Amino acid sequence: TSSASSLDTSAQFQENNGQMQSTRWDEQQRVFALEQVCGVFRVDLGQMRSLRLFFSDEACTCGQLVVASRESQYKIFHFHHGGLDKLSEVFQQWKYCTETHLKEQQLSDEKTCMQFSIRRPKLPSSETHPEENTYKRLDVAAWLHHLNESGQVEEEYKLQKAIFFGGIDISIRGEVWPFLLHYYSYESTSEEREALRLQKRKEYFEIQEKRLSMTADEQKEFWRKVQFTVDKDVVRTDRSNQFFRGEDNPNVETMRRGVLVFNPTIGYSQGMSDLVAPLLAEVLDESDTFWCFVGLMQNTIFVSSPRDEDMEKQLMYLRELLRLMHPRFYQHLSSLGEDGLQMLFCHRWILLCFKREFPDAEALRMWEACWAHYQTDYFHLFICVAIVVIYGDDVIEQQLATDQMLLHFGNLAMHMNGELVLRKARSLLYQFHLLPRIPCSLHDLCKLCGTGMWDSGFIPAVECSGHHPESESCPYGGLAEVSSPKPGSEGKRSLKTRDVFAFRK
Amino acid sequence: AMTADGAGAAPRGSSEASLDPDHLYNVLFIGDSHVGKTSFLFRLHTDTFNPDLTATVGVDYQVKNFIVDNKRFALCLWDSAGQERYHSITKQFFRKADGVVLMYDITSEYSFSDVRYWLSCIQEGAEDGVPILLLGNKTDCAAVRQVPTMEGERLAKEHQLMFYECSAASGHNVSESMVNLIRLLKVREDELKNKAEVVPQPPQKKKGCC
Repeated sequence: TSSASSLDTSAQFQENNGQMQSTRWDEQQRVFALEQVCGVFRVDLGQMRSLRLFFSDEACTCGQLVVASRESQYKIFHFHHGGLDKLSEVFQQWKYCTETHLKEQQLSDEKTCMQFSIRRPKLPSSETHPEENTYKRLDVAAWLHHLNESGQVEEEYKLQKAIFFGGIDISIRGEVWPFLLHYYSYESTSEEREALRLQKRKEYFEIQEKRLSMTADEQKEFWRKVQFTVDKDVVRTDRSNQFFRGEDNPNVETMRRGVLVFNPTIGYSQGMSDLVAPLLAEVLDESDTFWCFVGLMQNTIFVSSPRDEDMEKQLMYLRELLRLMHPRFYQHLSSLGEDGLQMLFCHRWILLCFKREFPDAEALRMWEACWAHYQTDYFHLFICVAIVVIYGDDVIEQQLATDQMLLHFGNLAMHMNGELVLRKARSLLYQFHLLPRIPCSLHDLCKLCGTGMWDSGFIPAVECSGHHPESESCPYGGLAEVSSPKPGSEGKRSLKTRDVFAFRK
Repeated sequence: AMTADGAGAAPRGSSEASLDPDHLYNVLFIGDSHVGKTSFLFRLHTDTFNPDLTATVGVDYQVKNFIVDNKRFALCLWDSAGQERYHSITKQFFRKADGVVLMYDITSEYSFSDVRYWLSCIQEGAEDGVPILLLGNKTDCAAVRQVPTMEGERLAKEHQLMFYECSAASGHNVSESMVNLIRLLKVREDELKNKAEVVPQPPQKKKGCC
């Protein structure tokens, strides 16, 4: 293992040069090849169960290191020429190792053995959503159960809730996603959907024809503005996915056609291909995929929006959520000033909905949980908060500056536990739901999706948390903070109100 | 010797990395999409070429250590997306930059004509006199070259830029250009220091990134 660096201790779980995610696969291949040739191998200590050191000399420099995996497989290293003492120091400093003190050792002065167990981040049960584990993955049988005889979704809310907690089985993703992405409406019958597909397919191919029948000048313009970038991006999207692998893969061409005609006014934003690729791989049909993508862009908020203001709004909500749910982290950001509050480290999370932060299997589960629009249209922001809660302690402890935060979270990409993050995010949403008061800045956070978050009849008080330059009073009817000590301090955030929102941590 | 390596091999040049740098600079990489910014940085970091790097979204950041003229330098390298949509972010980068690498692709006239646009961004956002390295990438693709070396040289001369042609794919001029940029950054730092000493004004505080 590498020596404990002070810069980024959590990066100890990963390869040090993990900045460039896309290289990992290549690198793995290279390592596998090496293993074949000369018996070199690697072990991710973060995935092991325990590390034990057995000393064979008094100075504790020689002996054996025994690495035990969770499946009780062992690797044994013999140290004949010293160095074991250095290693034990490293393990003692490594925060993911807990030294287990052995009973018999307390009796004798002589140290003959040390044992470390690996700590893995986990959530105490008090921090999980009470309905966690009550839903199984939505499989064919469960899916058919949600449909009536004519193929309409009976209770949309129930379906969304099931997906939010359990996710969708891979075998029926292609069938269910079009509903989540507003291509099919929940009320539509199977027959209506077939008719819609036919009509939409016709429409799609008309759009394609239109592109092909541009004048030479238009074509040149289009090539310069859109096609040039699309052509280069598409071939480097999701290459490790079996569906797109290999030279001249027809699926890559299909993806390219879809992205090209997406929207002549918006044009193409880099990152779109990252969002289309998984859709195509599940939905398969070219026209259906295209319309799902259109739905994704129109009806979800984490789109690759070309406008500054959309991103600003997302960041504002996220800042406010952090202020409520993780005040220590928020304080750290504030202490860094404007640069810190811009939260550069999470822009890609929001833009690509965690696609580059988690392996596909986990990222797509997050997508489904967001698309379910269960109680909020902004579940992705709760996921952001969850990541920060689980993986952000080092940032606060070491008072990392803006750029170091970027490095810290950048290094964590593809090394975080997606399942854990998702559970935490669900629990954060639940805790948010229980708040007696919410700041008016978050008033709209739960407004857009149907009945919204407070469908049980309970509606929290809205508290004015900031100034509204365009109007005299709070447009959300928020009252000045109840617990504010001084009457004249409207618009200022007092520390006292923060306590009201304090979360169990 | 121990061969099991849980946390991965030490990064290249780790012996340098363990040293405290004497100087530390923020360097911003800009230029059109696909000119090869990320590939250049990848070459710099691993000395290999990876043809499958995905388009940068948001911003990537890494630190690379160099020893130049017996001094230790740490470069904080900011890799921006060619198609940056959030201008408020870009502003922050420009403000922080001690140096800028402006890259175009010698096989793309468009990327070269956009150099003027990028220069205006630098002028607008960065400090006056910030050292700029103009890089014409992809010399390995000489057969499809669209921008003659002369053109790049002329533009560099006109705007007083340091100029190199390079190839992230072959490695040509990759470290050479960076080493010379470092020398330029050092000269500039010394100039600023001298100026600050002459005029008794609050010293130009350099915000470290490491």
